[in-house]
Amino acid sequence: MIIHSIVPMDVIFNNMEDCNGKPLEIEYMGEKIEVMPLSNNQYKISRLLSTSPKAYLNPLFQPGNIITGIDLEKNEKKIR
Amino acid sequence: MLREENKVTFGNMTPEKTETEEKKDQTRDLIELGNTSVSNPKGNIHCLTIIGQIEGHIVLPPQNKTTKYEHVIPQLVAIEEDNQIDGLLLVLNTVGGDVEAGLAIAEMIASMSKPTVSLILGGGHSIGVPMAVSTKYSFIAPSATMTIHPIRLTGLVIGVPQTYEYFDKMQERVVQFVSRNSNISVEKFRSLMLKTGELANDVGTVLFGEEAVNCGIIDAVGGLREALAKLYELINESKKPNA
Repeated sequence: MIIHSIVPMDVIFNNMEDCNGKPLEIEYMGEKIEVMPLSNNQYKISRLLSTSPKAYLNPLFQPGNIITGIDLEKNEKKIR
Repeated sequence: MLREENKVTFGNMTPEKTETEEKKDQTRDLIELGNTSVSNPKGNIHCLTIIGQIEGHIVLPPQNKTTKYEHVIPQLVAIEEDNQIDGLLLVLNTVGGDVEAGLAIAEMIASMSKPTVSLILGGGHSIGVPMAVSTKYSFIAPSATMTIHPIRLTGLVIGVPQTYEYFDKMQERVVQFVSRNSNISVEKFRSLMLKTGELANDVGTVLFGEEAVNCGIIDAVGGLREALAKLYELINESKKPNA
């Protein structure tokens, strides 16, 4: 991988180990998503795993979006 | 049996939502995700923002704001395919990032059939340059800057000639793409990339809004109003039946 950026490499990769929590793969609204667990029964979407292009335009599946455990209980199906 | 969620399509995802909730959601999408669709009688446009670092094959540490290519690429497919979207406004404020991911997004946008307009605000540096020129028409804000500099490993001395050759080849892809999609020649762009005396401890050039237009990389200086006007103009042209 080659980074072409005006930001120095050591700034970009600072705190590389600082990723807490293991990503979870769950099913949400009929699509498989990868989430990072946050505190308070909340999950932050880190990526969408779908082959449907339309799902990527759906704001619900945007990375960074936070979903709560309540949303998940309705669709809960932990894959990993 | 199809699950109920599977049948829900984009556009009427949550029909039971009240109007205020809908508004709140739209605001949140705009603030947190920088992604929104706008529709009016002149046409529906989709606004895609490219911010921070372009994230490639390695997930960057959380203090970076990133644009994830694996999310943007299918979005571009959906934008191209969705008959409710007439045009794409690409808003850039990026410091660069992964070469492959940046070029992948740029190539996707360059090969779209729908009208596309880009607007650089703040900065469109490094790999942001090919992304900025990938649209059919490009704008740069007067105060925005573009840094053009060679690809290399920062702070490392290139040890063997092969390393140099490899980086030179990588760089060539960027140079070729930019000259293919803008009015700047390969030679001119390469000379800007290798210019000394502009950057404190590096070779390269910093271009301000007007300068980027003068050297042919960007089509015009402008802001949101100009960018939207151009996009609607392109949409209008594309809607006309072919004579």
